[in-house]
Amino acid sequence: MIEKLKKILALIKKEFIITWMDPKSRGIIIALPIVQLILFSYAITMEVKNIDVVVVDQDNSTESRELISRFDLSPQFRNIYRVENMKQMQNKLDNKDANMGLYINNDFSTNIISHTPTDVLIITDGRQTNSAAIVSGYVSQIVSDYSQEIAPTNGVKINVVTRNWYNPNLEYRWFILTVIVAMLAAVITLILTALSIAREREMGTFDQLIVSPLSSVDILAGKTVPPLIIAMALTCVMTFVVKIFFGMPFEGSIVLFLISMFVSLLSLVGVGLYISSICRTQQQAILGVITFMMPAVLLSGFISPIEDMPVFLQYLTLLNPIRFFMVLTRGIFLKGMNFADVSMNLVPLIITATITLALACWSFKKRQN
Amino acid sequence: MDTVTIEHLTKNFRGMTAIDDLSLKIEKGKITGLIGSDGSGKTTLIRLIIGLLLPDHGKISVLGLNPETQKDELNKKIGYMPQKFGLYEDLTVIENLRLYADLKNVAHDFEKLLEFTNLKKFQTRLAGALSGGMKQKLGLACVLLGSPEFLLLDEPSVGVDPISRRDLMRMVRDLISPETTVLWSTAYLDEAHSFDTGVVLNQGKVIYQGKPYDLAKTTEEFENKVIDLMGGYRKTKSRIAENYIPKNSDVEYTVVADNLEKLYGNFYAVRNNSFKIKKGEIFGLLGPNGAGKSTSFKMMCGLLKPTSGTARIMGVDITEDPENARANLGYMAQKFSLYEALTVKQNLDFFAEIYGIHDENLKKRVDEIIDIFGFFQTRGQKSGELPLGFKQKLSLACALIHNPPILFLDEPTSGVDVITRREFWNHIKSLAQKGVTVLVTTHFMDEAEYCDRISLFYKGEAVAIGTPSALKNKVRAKSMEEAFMKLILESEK
Repeated sequence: MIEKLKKILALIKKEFIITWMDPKSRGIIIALPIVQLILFSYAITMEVKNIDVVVVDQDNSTESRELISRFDLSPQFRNIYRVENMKQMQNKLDNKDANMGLYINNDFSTNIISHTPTDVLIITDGRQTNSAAIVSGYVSQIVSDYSQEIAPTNGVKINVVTRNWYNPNLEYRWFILTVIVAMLAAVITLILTALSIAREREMGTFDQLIVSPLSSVDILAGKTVPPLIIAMALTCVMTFVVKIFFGMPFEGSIVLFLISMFVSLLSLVGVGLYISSICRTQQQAILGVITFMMPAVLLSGFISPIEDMPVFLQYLTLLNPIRFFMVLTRGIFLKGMNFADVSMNLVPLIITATITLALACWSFKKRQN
Repeated sequence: MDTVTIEHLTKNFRGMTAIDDLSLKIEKGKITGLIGSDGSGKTTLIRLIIGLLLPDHGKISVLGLNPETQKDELNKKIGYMPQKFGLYEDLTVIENLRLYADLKNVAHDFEKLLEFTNLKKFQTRLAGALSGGMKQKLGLACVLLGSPEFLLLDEPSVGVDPISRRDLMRMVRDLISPETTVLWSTAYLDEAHSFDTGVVLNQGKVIYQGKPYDLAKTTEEFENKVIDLMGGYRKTKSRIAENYIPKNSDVEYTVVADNLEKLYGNFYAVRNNSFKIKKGEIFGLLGPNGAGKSTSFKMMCGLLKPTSGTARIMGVDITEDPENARANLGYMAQKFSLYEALTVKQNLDFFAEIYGIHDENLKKRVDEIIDIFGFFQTRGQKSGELPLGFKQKLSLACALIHNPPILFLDEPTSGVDVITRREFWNHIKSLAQKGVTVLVTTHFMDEAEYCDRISLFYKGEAVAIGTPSALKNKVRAKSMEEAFMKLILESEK
């Protein structure tokens, strides 16, 4: 038994040296995730900033000016253009000089004083549907804040309630960051494992291993542990980075996080090793990873919610380790997911890991014949 | 008129001198053989001549051009065949030829080339599915396209059987014009002996240049002279064999092939292959490339499942209990298959450990191997960067590291220089005397003579089995090479 462990240890040591000695794979492991983490978190953001507003103020009262000044003070809004009429406003919007329009009717102040409900008209740029929705959200917030202030007691005039669970400031970056951490860890794990056996096949070193007295299980263990350790370490570093540099809250338990990370990555190692065991060359292995990655990301719930998918696709996502990995990272990071919820999500991952690792072992046992 | 003029050339790699103040002239219209021990700088010199490497000091002029600054012009005039020629393995023979013809902008006229290479029948076969000898011939054909003025061949005959080797030689001699210059690096001294000029390199310096025939009249004598030039070979006792601890076993026939067969589709790669090797015997598998030697080899060590039949290693059936059968085996693959990213020492450590040598014993054993094989200077170098001959040496060392009672060596000496070849065989023979059973393939016919028994393989079947002298007597041949050719011709009938 100790003899066997020592042999597996030799295999693990060899994997580490090879991964570390190759400057390219070293780069992939260290630089790539960190750079991408920072890059993506800035690039993929659904926050809208620097909004230019064009205003038609027919009322021109203290109240209306007060409301407009709120926009000026808000960090999301940049320039406020005052124009005379709707036609000029339309011009501004047509030329994309402004992202939204605000129209205040001439009865605005009168209505406020007489406690009559009143309207402000918001015109958003429907050409950019996504930012339009976000912008109108900001505006309703400002308007309702204002109406709360001026009429705290008697009847709310514009009743807009926006409440964002888990993400009170609508800081979209937090959501994105948890996804990116999970995605990067998944990509690195898949690439490292998918290449490992295929590389040895290509170089002929796999034959040399098979001719040795090592069993398939020994080889599988030697191939599983190093990428798992590397990916775990990497996920920890990335988590540290998002916590420290982006000030993201970490609500959940560290132990639960480590456990779910271990299981998630193990199932991904299984997928990677299975891909690797059926490939003859590294090129095939990379193509295999891409073939797996694309649908796995699309069906992970990152792009569109799983509940909105056709029923058969919803069942298909149960096989997708990335789905549960994402749910777990997001849940533990932002929601402080509890043990019961975590274990619910771990079950499918454990099943995938068992199946894929067994498949990988079986497939390279078969291959040698 | 000289094709190449080199003056005081020096090239260093990371503090190691590969070419040391070398001056050389290569005559136009002649075939010049480049001979030298492994790591003597043959490949580096060729790469410097064509401008793939830049010199640290000194001047090179090739066909009146400077390879450093006029590489583009030079490229059109030369044909270069590296050790591993870049054939597209997923393209067929004819597609490879067409591709290289288009790259060189010459007409698609392959009749003569296909005829000389005997590849006419295999035009539509994928290059990756060709045997080693055929690949080399196809590579040479691609290089010969467009009739280059200067041909540089870096060990084209490594791993090639005697028949294909003769084809390669004939292709070069018959297909070039009298003005063409050829620089041919080789480890086969019979080849070198037939060239117009021989250049012997040692430690980055030219130690001999002249007509091989002037140096020695016969090939054997030439080999001995070259060995003398390279510092001589003193046969010493093989320390590997001295330190070998024999494994007690009462199995008489340690390696048995029992009706091994491998069927691909409806093509028999190996057919009813049976033999028994006694403990301490050296058994040679000989035959042209693609005859099924490697396939047999792979089946015998459990890398490939036989269609029918089996092999027994120390009495253990390889198909039933592969792990235990393999524990007795030291295997050296035809293609270098150690970890290129690991250093020499790391490779030795790794293979020692997976064969169950640990801690104290590990250090002792690895140090011993490093000492015996002379790896002390290169122990920290990545094995992928070593010259071909050193790689083979390291492969042999890894195969021997766990004192196996049985050795399977698939072309162990291909690409190895003549002195190292003698060292290899010294180890092999001494180990056999200690009771190690050896199964070996080779393309060097002189090495075949060292075997106790030989099985000559052709088209998947053993056409003759016997001692070297018995085989020679059978067809009344003087040399093993002659016997080889005759026996194969006979089996064709």
